[in-house]
Amino acid sequence: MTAPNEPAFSLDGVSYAYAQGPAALSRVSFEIGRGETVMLLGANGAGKSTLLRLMDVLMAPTAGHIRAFGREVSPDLLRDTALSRWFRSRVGFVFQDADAQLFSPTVEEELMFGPLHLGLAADEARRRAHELAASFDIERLLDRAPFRLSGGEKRRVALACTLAVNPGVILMDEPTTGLDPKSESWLIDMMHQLAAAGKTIVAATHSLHLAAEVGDRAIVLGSGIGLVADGPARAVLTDLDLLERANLIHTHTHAHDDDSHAHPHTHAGVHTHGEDGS
Amino acid sequence: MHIPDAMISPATCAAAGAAMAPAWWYSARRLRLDLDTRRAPFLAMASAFCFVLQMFNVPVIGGTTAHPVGSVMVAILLGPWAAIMAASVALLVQALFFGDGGVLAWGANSFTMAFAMPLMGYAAYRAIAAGRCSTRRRAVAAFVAGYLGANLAALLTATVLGIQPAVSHDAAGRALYFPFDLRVTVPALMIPHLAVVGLVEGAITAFALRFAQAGGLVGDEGSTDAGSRVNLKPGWVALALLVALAPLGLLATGEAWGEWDKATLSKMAGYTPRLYSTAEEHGWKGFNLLPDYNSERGAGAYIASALLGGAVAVLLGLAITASLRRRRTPAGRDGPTRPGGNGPCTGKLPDWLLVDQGEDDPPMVERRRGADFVERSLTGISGAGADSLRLEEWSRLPGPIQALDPRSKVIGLGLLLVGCACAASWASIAAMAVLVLALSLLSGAPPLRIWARAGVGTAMFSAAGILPAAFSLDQHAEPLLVLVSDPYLSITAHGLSYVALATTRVLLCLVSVSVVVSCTRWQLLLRGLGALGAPRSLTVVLEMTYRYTAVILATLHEMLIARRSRTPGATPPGKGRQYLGAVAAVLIWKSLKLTDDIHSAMVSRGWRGEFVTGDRLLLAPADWAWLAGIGGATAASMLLGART
Repeated sequence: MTAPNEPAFSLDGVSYAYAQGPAALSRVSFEIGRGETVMLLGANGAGKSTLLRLMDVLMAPTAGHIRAFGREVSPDLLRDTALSRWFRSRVGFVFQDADAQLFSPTVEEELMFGPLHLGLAADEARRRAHELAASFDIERLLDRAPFRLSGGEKRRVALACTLAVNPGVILMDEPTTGLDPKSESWLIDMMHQLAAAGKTIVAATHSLHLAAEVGDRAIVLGSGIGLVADGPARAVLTDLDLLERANLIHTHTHAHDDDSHAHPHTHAGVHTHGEDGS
Repeated sequence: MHIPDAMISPATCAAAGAAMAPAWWYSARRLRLDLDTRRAPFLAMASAFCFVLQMFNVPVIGGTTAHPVGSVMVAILLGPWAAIMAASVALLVQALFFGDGGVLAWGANSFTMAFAMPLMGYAAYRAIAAGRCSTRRRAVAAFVAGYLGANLAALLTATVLGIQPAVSHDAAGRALYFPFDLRVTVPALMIPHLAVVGLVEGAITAFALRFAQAGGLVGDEGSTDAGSRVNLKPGWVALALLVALAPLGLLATGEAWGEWDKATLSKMAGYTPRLYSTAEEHGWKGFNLLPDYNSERGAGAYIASALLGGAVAVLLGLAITASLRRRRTPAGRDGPTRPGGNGPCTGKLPDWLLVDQGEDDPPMVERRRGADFVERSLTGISGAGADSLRLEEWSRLPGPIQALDPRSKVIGLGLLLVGCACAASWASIAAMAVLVLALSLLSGAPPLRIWARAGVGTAMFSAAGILPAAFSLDQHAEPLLVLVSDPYLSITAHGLSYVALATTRVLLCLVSVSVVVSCTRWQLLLRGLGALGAPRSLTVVLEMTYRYTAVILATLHEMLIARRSRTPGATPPGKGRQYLGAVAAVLIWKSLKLTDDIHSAMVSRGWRGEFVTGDRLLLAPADWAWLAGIGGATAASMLLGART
C-alpha cells in the first residue's frame, strides 16, 4: 500500500493558530525518514506539542499539508474508517499528561484498548497486553486502576499501551518530565531498543540530556517563528549560540569549592570549565 | 434534593422508573446517533462535574442544605439528551458509591433532576437566546434557565415526597414512608431553592457557558460579539429582580408558611409541620442563619431570608468573576506565553530575600483554629473521594460475594433493596436485617466500616426527613412523654415506632448497596448492567465518569492542601467564599481541558465512537444460590409486611 521509500512523515508549510491567539506554528516544513530518531526542541510555548498533535491528526493545520508514509492525512480524510485504521495502527502517540492518556478502568484494559479498537481479536489483544506487561515490568499492575498508579508507573503504562498496536512511528510529548533518574534511564534504554528495532521516534522534549542520549537528529522550534534549526543532534546541541537564541539554555552560575563560574549551560552531558568560566 | 431508598414507597419508585425508561431509552438512542467522537468523554466529564457540584452543599435557611445539580449546564452545552444521560449517571454513581440518594429511587431522582430540570432549563435557554444573539444575552439566558430548572426540580421532589402519606399508608391512615404531606414539603424545599439554590444554579450555568465558549469547546455560532468583555450588569439586574421576586413566590406557594391549621394537619397523619421545624431547631444543628424564620412574623422573615440568600449568591458570583479576571490578565488566553518570557534569568533577587528571618522560638500552642465552612465542605468532599477509592480495594479481596457473576449481583441488589424497602413490619425488618448483616460479614470487607458509613448517611436523611415525626403537638394523640405542656409538645409511641422503623429501613438499604458495590469491581458491575440490557452509551459514560470523578476529586484535594500550606491563621471573613468561587472556576477549567486531552488520547488509539471490550460472563451455581436466597428473603419480607 505504501511505497517503502516514502518518508514516514513529510510536512509542507504547516501553520497553526489557536482561535483568537497568535500563531503557534508558522510554515514548518520537514521530512522524517523511516527509522530516524528525531528530537523536537524548543522553549515552552514554541509549539512542540501542537506540532505533535498535528502530526497525529488530532487537529487540522490552519495551512499546509501533512503526509504520512506518502499519504496525505487530515482529520477530514481520517473520517474514512479504513484510512483511519491504517493511520492509527501505524502512528502511536504518548501524551504528556499520563492522566489524560490512561482512561480505562484497569491497566489490562488500557493495554487492550488500542488493539481491540483497531480490529484485533480479544484473545490476541489480551496476549499482547500480557507480553507487554511482562517486558515493561508492570504485570502486577494489570488489575489496578491506572489513575491510582505512581507517576513513573503511569508513564510505563502509557508507553506500553501506545506500543500495543505496534506502531511504526512513535510520537512522544515530553517523555521524561517528572521521571526519577532510574525511570529516565529505563526510558532511554527503551527508546534505544525501539530505535534499534527500526521504529521511527519523534520526541518533543526540553531535556537536552535526553536529546543528546538518543537523538540522531534535532529540530529546533522558536516561539512564533517556526523552524530555527534542523540537523544532526550532535551539531545542533553543541551550537551554544543557536541554543541560547532558542531560549533553551541560559547563563548559569555554578559553585566549585569557594569559586563560582557563570557559563552557558546545556545540561546536555559534559561541560567544561576553563575558557567559559569567569 | 436526593431522595434515599425506603423514603418513598417501592410503588412510587417503580412508577418513576417506568416514567424515566422511555426518556433513558430515547436519549441513549439519540446519543448513539449524534455521539460525535468528541462527545462521549465530554459527556462523562459533564457527568463527573455534575457529581462534584452536587457535593457542594449550600447552606440554606432553616438548617437544611441544598446543592446545585448542574444538569441545565449540560443541557445547554451538550443538548438535552446528553443532559438526561449525564445527570442520571451522576445520580447513579452517587447512589452506588456515596449513599447519596437511593438506588431504587434512582428513577424518581432522575425524573426530577435529570429529566424535568434539564428540559425546563433547555427550553428556557432556547426561548431567551434564540438564533443570533450576544454573548451577554446567552449568559443571562443560561442564568434564568438554571434558576427555573432548579426550582422545577425542587417542586417535583417536594411533590414526590409530599404525596407519600396519601399513596402509602396503613389502615389507620398513617404514613408508611415519608410522613409529611405537600403542605410541608413544598415550602420546605421551595424556599431554599427560590431564594438561594436556584440563584447558585443559575450562576454556575452562566459561568460554565462562558468558560466553555472561551475554551473553544462549544461553538459560539451566531454570537455577535464573541470574545469581547462581557458586561455583567444585566445579569446583576436580573439577579436583584429574582431576589426581589422570591418572597412573592413564597407567599404564592400557599397559605403563608407557618400558619397552617393545626387540627387539619394533625388529622392528616398525626404530625404537624411546626413540629418539623421545632425538631429541626433543637435536634439538627445545621447552618441556621435565621433561626426564627418560622416564627409568627411570617412573610417579613422570608423576605429577609431571601435577601440574605441572595447576598450569599451574589458574593459567590462576585468571587467567581474576580477569579476569572485574575486569570485573564497576565497571559491572555490559552495561547502561547508572550515572547521574551523565557529569557535568561538574570534578574537580581530583592534584598529582603537574601536576609534570614532571624531565629524566634516557636510559639506555644494556645488555641487551635477550627475549620471554617469552606474547609469543612472541601475536606468532606475530598475525603468522600478517598473513601470511595477504598471501596475499590475491598472489591479485590477474596470472598464469596466478590466471586459472584456481576449480572447476578445486579439482580440480587435490586431484589435486596425491594425486600428492605417493602419491610413494613418489625418481623420483616428483622428478617432483612439478619440477611444484610450476614452479607456484610461474608463480604470480607470490614463490616463495622460499612455499617458506620451507612449509619452516617441514614442519620443525615432521617434527621431532616423522619425524626420530626416522633413529636406531636396534638393533645389527643396518646403521649409517651410530654416534653412541654404549654405550648403542648409530646413524643408519641406511634411516632417513635415509625421513626425507628423508617430509619432502620433506610439503614438496611444503604448497607445493602454498600456491601454489593464494595465487593464488585466497578467495571464488572457495569458489565453486569450492560449484559442485562443497559444501553451501551450509559455504561460507557458511567465507566468514564467514575474515572473523571476520581481525577477531579484528586485535583480538589491538592487545591485544599495547597491552600492549607499558605493559610497559617484563620481565614479572614469573606475570603472563604472567594476561595470557593476560585475553586469552582479552576475545577471547570481543568475539567474542560482534561476532557479535550482524553478525547485526543482515545482517538489516537483508534477509538471511533464505539467501545470494544473482550470479556465473557459466566453464571455459576453459586450465583443461582445467591439469587434464590435473596429472592426468598425478599418474598418473605413482602409477605410478612403484608400480613401485619
